[in-house]
Amino acid sequence: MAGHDLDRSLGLYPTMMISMGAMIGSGIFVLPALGYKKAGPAVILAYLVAAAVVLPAALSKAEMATAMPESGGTYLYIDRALGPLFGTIAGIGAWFSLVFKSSFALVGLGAYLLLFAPISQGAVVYVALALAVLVVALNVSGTKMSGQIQAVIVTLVVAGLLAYVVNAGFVADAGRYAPFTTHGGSGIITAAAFVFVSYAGVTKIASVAEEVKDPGKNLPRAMLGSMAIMTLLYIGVVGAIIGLSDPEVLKTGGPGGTASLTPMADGAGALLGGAGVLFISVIAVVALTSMANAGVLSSSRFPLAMSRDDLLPSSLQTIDARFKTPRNAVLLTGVVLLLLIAFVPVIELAKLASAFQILVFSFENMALVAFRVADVPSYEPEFKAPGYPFVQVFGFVAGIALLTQMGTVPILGAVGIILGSALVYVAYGRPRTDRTGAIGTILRARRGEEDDGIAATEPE
Amino acid sequence: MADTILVPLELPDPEPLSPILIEDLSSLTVVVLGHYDLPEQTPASSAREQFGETAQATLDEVAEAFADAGATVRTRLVFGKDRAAAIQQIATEEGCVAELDPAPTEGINRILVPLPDVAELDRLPRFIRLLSEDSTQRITLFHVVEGEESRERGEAVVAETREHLIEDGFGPDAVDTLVVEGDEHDEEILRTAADYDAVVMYEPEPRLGDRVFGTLADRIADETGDPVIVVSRDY
Repeated sequence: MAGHDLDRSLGLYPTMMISMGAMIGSGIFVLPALGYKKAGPAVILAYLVAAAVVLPAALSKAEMATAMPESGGTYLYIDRALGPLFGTIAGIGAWFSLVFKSSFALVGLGAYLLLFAPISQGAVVYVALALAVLVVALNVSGTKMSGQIQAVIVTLVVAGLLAYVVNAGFVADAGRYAPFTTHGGSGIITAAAFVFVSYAGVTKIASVAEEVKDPGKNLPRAMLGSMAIMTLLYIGVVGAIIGLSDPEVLKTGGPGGTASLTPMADGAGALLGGAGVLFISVIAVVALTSMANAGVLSSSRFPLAMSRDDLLPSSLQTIDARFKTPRNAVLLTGVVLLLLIAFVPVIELAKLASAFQILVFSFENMALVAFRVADVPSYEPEFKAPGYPFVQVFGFVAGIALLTQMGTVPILGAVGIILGSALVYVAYGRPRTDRTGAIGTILRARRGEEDDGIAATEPE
Repeated sequence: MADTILVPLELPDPEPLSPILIEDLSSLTVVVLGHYDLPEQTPASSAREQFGETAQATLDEVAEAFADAGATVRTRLVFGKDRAAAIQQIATEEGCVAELDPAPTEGINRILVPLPDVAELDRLPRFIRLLSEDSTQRITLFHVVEGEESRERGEAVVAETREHLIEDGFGPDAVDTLVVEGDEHDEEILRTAADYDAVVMYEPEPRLGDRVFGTLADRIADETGDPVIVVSRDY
């Protein structure tokens, strides 16, 4: 009984739109001021650095996606490559990363909404909590978002951002770009680690890889193309933000004197005949809403997939009979989302989202190496990532390097997620699984034993 | 070989199929497609695991009714988001030349046949015959004249098709024709269909609004309660 195998119907352009739609969000609407505080105007370079570190993982993930045509994504690939221990770490890490990202998007959304109300930015947490409840309720009851609506939103947002950049070109203050670096090279690296999430959406391509026409050609093109476009757009937008806004507002305009959460609106008053703030805020609200919803939607897939593999309790995979949604997985995600918004300071939300993302991306690079080295017969990707193994090793090393530049909390967070997930695995998953992953195949081959791990590494 | 027709059902709770329709289609090969609609949040594989057996049982029940009537039956079960895409794909895979858009019916006295602007038709009459029973008193060949087309051309199309049908063995009294002029092709068909019990038509050109409003066949079935047989084009 085969599932629903859609024909390959996505060409280069729609694939790029999917990728860009998944990228646009808090990375550009909320993070630039936080990055600015770390690096000064050189935050522009940070967006370039971040793109270079994301790309290897994106290519690796695309290759694995064409070999394992199943939903489950990141978690599934790492689990099948490195075994259930790393599977648990990656699954929980990726899940947390998305929940952090969603909560950050919701706080940013709240901040932009408050620009319309005569209430101080201090109320942003309450607004974000209310929005979170709304998003979770939507996801429990089930949504149908057609591809066309998504394409329309992306087009509108990109067009809006372009209008912003072009218009800003006429009024930007060149003096604001000097001095270009305020915290030297390490400031740029720290900022890059921060804005890393801005590109995480590119891996969305991997989840539709099975529907892409001529994947060997279109997958890398769509990834490189959408990242190139977004990098240019990000550089333009961040450049415009710096040229338009008062540096002090950027650095301290947020709740409680932190960096501004609404950087695009801060200097927009000078744009489009004074209607700039309204215009930009509307675009930000649309993009951030769409991002927060997509975040909750895809993050609830992780507990679901892990529960199906016996790594988490089976109640998480129950599909609600009325709404046809994985209600328990969504609710669990929702509870974590609310707790994060309520108790974690907004800056730490951003940092931890990035840190977990970097961690997971590093694992993804290693997972690809494991598959290639193990040479499991069932692993037959239609698209092969170019530059193996150098690209993957670079991605891994650069990812870890970024991680070390993020400060204490994110490093503790990353270590905590690794230890915590390992604990979950030892307590729950290990007695219930006997998969070893591709890496088990490698180890057995080293010891000269017969390979009996093939069946276990094969996607079910 | 008998023609193959696709009968799509919306799971988990399909509308019951009228025994009359099952009887009418019994000379064909029937592919019963169960489409289990899922929201974005739910991966198809999870839903299949949980609801697969019950859904297949529901399908088998319908399939049995067709088999009892004498049809050759196959079933397909699809979990997913995009119902229209699933129907399209299964129709292609199974080599279906027509699709039934079912609606409850108690008897088919009047059949409406909207025609495209060609008269050389082979497949359409075969399906008109399926739905025609002893009780069928009227088959109306219908054409909407729109745009540049002249009324004479429209009249010619329906008249020629009527000749074919009569040569084919339909009683001359049973087949009449109707030509209207209008700018809104679909609306004219919908309005006229309200006076009939069933519609047999060629698959219309896909339109931009289909995704929002549903295809013409879906709208006819929904708004007028007539079962519709959509025949894939062979002209």
